[in-house]
Amino acid sequence: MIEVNELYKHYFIHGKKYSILENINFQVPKGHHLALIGRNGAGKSTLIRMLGKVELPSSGYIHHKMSVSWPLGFSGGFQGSLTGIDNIRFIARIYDTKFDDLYEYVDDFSELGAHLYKPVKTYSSGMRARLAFALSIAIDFDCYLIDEVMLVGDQRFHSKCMEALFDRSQNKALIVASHELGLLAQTCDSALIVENKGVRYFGNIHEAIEVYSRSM
Amino acid sequence: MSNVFIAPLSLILDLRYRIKIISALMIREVHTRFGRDNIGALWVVGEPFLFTLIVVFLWYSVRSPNDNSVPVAAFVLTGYAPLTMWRHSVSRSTNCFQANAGLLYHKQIGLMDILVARIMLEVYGTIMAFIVICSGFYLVGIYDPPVNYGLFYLGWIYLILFSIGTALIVSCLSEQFDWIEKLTSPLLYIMAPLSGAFYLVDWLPYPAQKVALLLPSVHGFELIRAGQFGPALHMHYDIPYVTYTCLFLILIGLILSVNVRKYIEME
Repeated sequence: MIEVNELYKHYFIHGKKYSILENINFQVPKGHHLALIGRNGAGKSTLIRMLGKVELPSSGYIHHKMSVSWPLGFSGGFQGSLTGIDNIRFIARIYDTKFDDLYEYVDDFSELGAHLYKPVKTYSSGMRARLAFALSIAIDFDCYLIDEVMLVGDQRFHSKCMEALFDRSQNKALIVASHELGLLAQTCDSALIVENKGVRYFGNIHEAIEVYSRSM
Repeated sequence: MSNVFIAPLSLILDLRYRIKIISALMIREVHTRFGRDNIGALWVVGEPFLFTLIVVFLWYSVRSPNDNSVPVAAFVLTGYAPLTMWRHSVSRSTNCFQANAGLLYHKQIGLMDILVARIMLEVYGTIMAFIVICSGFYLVGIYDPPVNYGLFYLGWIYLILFSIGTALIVSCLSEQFDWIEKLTSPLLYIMAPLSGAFYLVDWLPYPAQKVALLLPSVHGFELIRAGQFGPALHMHYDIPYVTYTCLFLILIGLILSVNVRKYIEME
């Protein structure tokens, strides 16, 4: 369970206060698949980063009552000048897992092969996403935070992710931010529409998509 | 975020976990900075080694003919090695949080872990370089081991504390005000002759001594020299004063660090 209570987020730009999110309250129980829907700049990524405790809320709090992954996205979590292998070593150390197991899984899942010996900054965005996914799936979290990334992979990678993450029998919670409504409809059961500094909760993803599509 | 200090057991477990995180960060730092080519990780020691060796040789060749009051190699070595440690700790800590913002994606990594890893790497590198050079000079016959190891180590410890305190303050301030970064390199440059690395307080006129002894680093260097040369030279240090000032610097740094997270912009 993740609990979000009276969450506010604002930034200061040139001393002027810009409010991003105001009074957000919701919960994500274990095993739930929650979609975050909203237009560019609505605050989806900010919300995901706060859920991952990467960014601090201006006020309010977020409680993790299960283990939560770091936010999977295009950036963050990697050191570009290090090789894939060195990144795997680092993740193994800080998440207290065995390097050999982690390496074996990542190698198999990401199919990066010899690229793992090259610096991550030489990777394409698809390769980066494959490494990021493989690493975080290899570490056993109860909840995964996913920000946009899964669209960059090819079909084969796509189906692997579906199997490893979106399969209901795994009983993993997911929070996915995406613009790909079709994919969200397939993979999630509930949704939050992020708009006007607030969120609207829908227990049914199809209803949420319908409401969101009409408002566009 | 919240560290649990309920039972001693959890404190020990937490400490072991911190050590794990910090050592992972140190290894990562070594790999990003020095890569795996040529001598790779050995540059941690190699860099300060070259720095110190060159400076010692410069002084040795300039000063040896007419001044015999102090063994030049030992004097410059005990000055320049800790000075390098301090300067590198401070300059490596400027903007170190923003540069490593990507690491904060892993919520178990705190800002202090990043800073501590960097400082420890500098401290480790310089001390190892110091040991290597001392051993080499000892074999050649231009360096004698310290007379009083207690004072010698104590001086090093105070200079490490001084490095931690100043690095902590600079790292936090540089995140809040970007002009701090511009200010640190000239300040570090001016501090080189003032820090106490290249003079003995006893050589100064009395009014200047008073001023010099306001700097905590001067006490650290005097202690190292007291340990190195023994009672032959008259040293000036005040252990309570240097303890309080170093701890005071660390305290200020810790207070500044409470709020620094909000100045760091995530990608």
